[in-house]
Parts: sequence; C-alpha cells; structure tokens
Amino acid sequence: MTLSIVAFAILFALLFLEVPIAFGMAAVGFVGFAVVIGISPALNLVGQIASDTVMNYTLSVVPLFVLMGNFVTQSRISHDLYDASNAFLGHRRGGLAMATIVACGGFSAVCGSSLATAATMSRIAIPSMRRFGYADSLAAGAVAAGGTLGILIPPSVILVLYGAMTEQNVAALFAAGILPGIVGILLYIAAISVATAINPSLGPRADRTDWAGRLRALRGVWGVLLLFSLVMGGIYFGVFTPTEAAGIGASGAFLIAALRGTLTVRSTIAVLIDAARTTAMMFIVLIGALIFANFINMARLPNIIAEWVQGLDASPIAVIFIILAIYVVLGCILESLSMMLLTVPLFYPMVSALGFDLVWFGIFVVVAIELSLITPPIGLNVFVLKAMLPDVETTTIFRGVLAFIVADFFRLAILVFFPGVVLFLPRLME
Amino acid sequence: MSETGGQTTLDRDAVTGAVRRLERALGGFAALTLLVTMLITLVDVLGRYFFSAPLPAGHELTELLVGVVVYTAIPLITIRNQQITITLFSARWPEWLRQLLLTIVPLFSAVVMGLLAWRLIVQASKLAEFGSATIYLQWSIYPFVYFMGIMAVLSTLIYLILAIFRMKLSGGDADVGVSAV
Repeated sequence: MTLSIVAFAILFALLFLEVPIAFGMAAVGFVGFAVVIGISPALNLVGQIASDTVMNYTLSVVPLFVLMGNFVTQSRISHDLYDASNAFLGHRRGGLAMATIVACGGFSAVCGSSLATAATMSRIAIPSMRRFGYADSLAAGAVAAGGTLGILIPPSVILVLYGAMTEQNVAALFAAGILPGIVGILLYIAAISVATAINPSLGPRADRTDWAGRLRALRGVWGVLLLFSLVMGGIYFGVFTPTEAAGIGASGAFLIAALRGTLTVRSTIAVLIDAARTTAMMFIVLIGALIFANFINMARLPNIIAEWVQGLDASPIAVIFIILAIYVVLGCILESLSMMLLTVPLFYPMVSALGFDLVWFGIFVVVAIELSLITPPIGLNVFVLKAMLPDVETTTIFRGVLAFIVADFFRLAILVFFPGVVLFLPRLME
Repeated sequence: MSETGGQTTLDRDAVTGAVRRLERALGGFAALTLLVTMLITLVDVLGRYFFSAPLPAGHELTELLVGVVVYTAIPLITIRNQQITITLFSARWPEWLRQLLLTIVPLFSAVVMGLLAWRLIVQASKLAEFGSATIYLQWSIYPFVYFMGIMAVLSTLIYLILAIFRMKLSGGDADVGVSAV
C-alpha cells in the first residue's frame, strides 16, 4: 500500500514536470514491478508488453477507426450533416444549436474522437450561429458539449481500449454506447430548449425550410448513414469482426472522400500519416499504462481498494458517485485517454465486486470522462474551442456549457438508476 | 550564420536536415503500410462474402502490419514532440526550472525509450531462438520485433539530440496529441 502511494506521488510529480505520460507510467511501473517481483521479470515484462500490445488483433481496430475518422473529416461531410440538421431544426428557438448537437452526434457515428468532433463542428456551426445572432455562450457551449458525444457513440477508440483492459467484448461495448448517446443528444436538445425559453435572445429562430428543401438536404448525408449502418450493423450482427468493420469503414470513408472530390494524392498521404501518428501516440500511452497496471496489480492495490470499499459497507451507488467525483477532478489535469487508462485498472475489480456489469461501467466511465471534458475550471473541449475562437472569453464558453453539464448529470442519473438503457442492446445481441 | 555561433548553427542545420529526410521516409513508409492494412481487411471481407475466397492470412497480416505502423510512427511523433503531456503547469514554473526541463525531460524520455529498445531487441532474439512463427503463413515473428527495436533505438537517438540541442526539431505542437481521442 505504501509503495503504491509513493508510486502514484512520483508518477504525478513526473507528469507535472512535463514528462510524457507514457514514459512516466512506464518508468514508475517498471521500477515498481522490479521492487515487488524482481528486476529480471520486470525486464521481461517491458519487452513483452512493448511487442505484444502492438501485435494484438483486437487492438488492430484502433488505426483503422482513426483512419476512418480522418477520411470522414477530410471529406467535409460535416457541412452536409449540419445543413441537414438545420433544415429540420433551424426554425425553432435555439434550433441552430440543436442542429449542432445532432450534427455532432452524426459525425461521432463515423468518427471516434471528441476533440476532432468539436474542432470540426466549430468551424461550421459557429459562423452560422453568429450570422443569426446567437449568443456566443450558447453557440460555443453547444459545440463543446456536442463534441463530447464523439467518444461515446460508436465507433469509439476509447471503448476499444477499455475493452482491452477489462477483457470485455468490443462489440457489446459499442452496442451499449448507442442508446446513452441518443439519450445524450435528446437531453442536450432539452437543455437548449430550457435555456432559450428562459432567455430567448440566446438563440433566435432562423428561417424555416420546406419539405422539399429538407429532403434535398438529406441527400448530402446518406453516405454517413450508410457507412454507420454498414460498420455497426456488421459488428452487431456478427457479420464481421470489429477490426474488419473498421477496415471496411476506413475504405468506405476513403471512397466517400474521393467521390466528393476532397482527396488528392498528397492529401491522402497526409491523412494516412496523420492516422499513423495518432495511433502511435495512443499505443505508446497504452504500453506505458499496461506496464503501470501490471505493477499496481502485483502490489495488489486494486484488491486492497476493493476489500476496503467492501468493508465500508457503503451503498454501491454512493461508490459510483465517488468515482464520478474523482473523474471530474482528474479531468482538470489529464486528457481522456490517459485518464481512462490510468484509472480503469484501479477501479474495475472493485466495481465488479460490487455487482456492476463491466460493460455498463465502461459506458459510465466514458460519460464521466465526457463530463470532465467540459467542466470548469479546466475542460479540454472548452480549450479547443477557445483556441478556435480567440475573441470569445473562456468564461463565456463555460457559461454556455453550464446547461449541458446539468444535462450530463441527468444522463448519468439515468444510466445509474436505469442501467437497462445501457445493457438493452448488448443483451439482445446474446 | 554568425561568426561566433557558426559551428553550432552548422551542426544544427545538418542535424535538422537529416531529421527532415528521416521524417519523410518514415512517413511515406507508415502511410503505405497503413493503406495496405486497410486494403487487406477489405479484400478479406469482400473475398469471404462475395467470392467465398477469404484471405486466410488476413488476421495475422493485420496484426503484424499494425505493429509496423505503430513503431514506424513512434520516431515521427518523437521528432514533432507529439507525446501526450500535461502542460498545465508549465507556465507557472520558474524560468530556471523550465530551462532545466528542456534538457532533463528528453533525457528521461531517452532512458525509457532506450529501455524499450533494449528489451524489444532481447525479445526479438528470444523469439528467434524459439522459432515463433505466425499460424497460417508460418512467417517468423522475430524480424518484425527487431524492426520495432530498431525504431525504438532511432527514437532514443532523437531524444538524445533533443536533449543536446535543447530544441524542437520540427515545428510541431504538443497539443496535437490530445486530438487522439
């Protein structure tokens, strides 16, 4: 126990001194493992994790989904998604903000990244909302919150990594993310209605589109719908493995981008290299996290925590809300990937012992991490937007995000008290 | 090139030029490997459902190629300083500490990357000894792990260069890392 505490203290000291997260975890994990078990097994562990992790079929899905997201981003289909959502929602009060949320949800269905979703949609949605006189707070808040849907609505790279760490089925995790994602969209839309009902000047009505225009707008997005149905349907019904689905998805996204005339040889190479880089960034953190996780397991820390929590005789729900509080605090210093990789090995034996389903817990963790991406004082999605909108104050964005934070708490309550929302689709699969 | 600092500038330029060439070569190789990986899964699935002729080695090829993609790209993210890092406190550290970190962090990274490189090469020689091979194609696995080891050695060297010259080699930004998820 003392060893584990010292290890965590050293780890965070290293990270605050700007040592890359991967190397901090690898170094502390290696030394800790050597102290507990011995230097020679520790050396073997490093070699094995460094090679096995990258040659693992389940994890081969990662670069292919990243590539799919990159091609989709390159295809600029996000514009069409936004236009289509607008045609249906724009005439309502706050409708452009609602359209932003729906478009973010649609984009998330073909892209597994929160920050990419926020960055892409901010370029399209914010200028349009400004043109119609929307308050900066609501406009930026909608994009920041909508972006968080990226890691929940499948495909989600972070759910793949969660599955690898907890030995859960990736297909089940993906299926489990769909309904909470839809609930998230609906609650965000409700938050916008409430906010604009209280203060109508936040989001005035825009022009109404007739049905002919709506159907025309839908033509631009059939590619996304088809790609999502193909990829997720294929996984859900067991037609192909997640890795194969990702390969198909990446090829399909390539085709869409090419048909839309957004690809040149040069940009294709750039997209491929970018996906390779992103993959390497994630795998090196994963390797560090696995070395660290092996150490804390050998130090029996997860078991000690599990036994301690069980000894407390606290209600499982209370424990879950304490975990949520920990994520909100950690969200101030860590980005989502490292947060998930560092904490899940620590928590999941305890959560499992308390009787929670680990697929359910995966979705809970992702929603909690999403929340931490937009909570003050530090939320990564908010900072992405701040970087893209230098003339808007950070406090303005946080003010705009507030309504969505309330919506997220409602969503978490729904997930906790009605776990069926998460588990319904994966159970149908069995 | 000033007269007083001529020697250093020359070295820097030479190093930077070499690194740029390395970056282009590795980038091209990673792009090609990833493209091939994508096409293999596509051909495998299409073959299975439409021509009842799956690519039997599809899965193991995917595994090996993803390993190659990841380790080819590690020197690339090293060159651009794209490792995921907490930069929250950097503005608050005193100047002397920031200067010190500019040398110490790359050195620390070099040590950890060097450890990975060493163990990967040892792992490769073990796999060679046991004759580990893929199930279908019966390809030896050890050359792939040697390749990973070499890429890790390369990244270690890049970190040492970063520590010596106390600079970013390419105009990358560390924040790109967070776009991963």
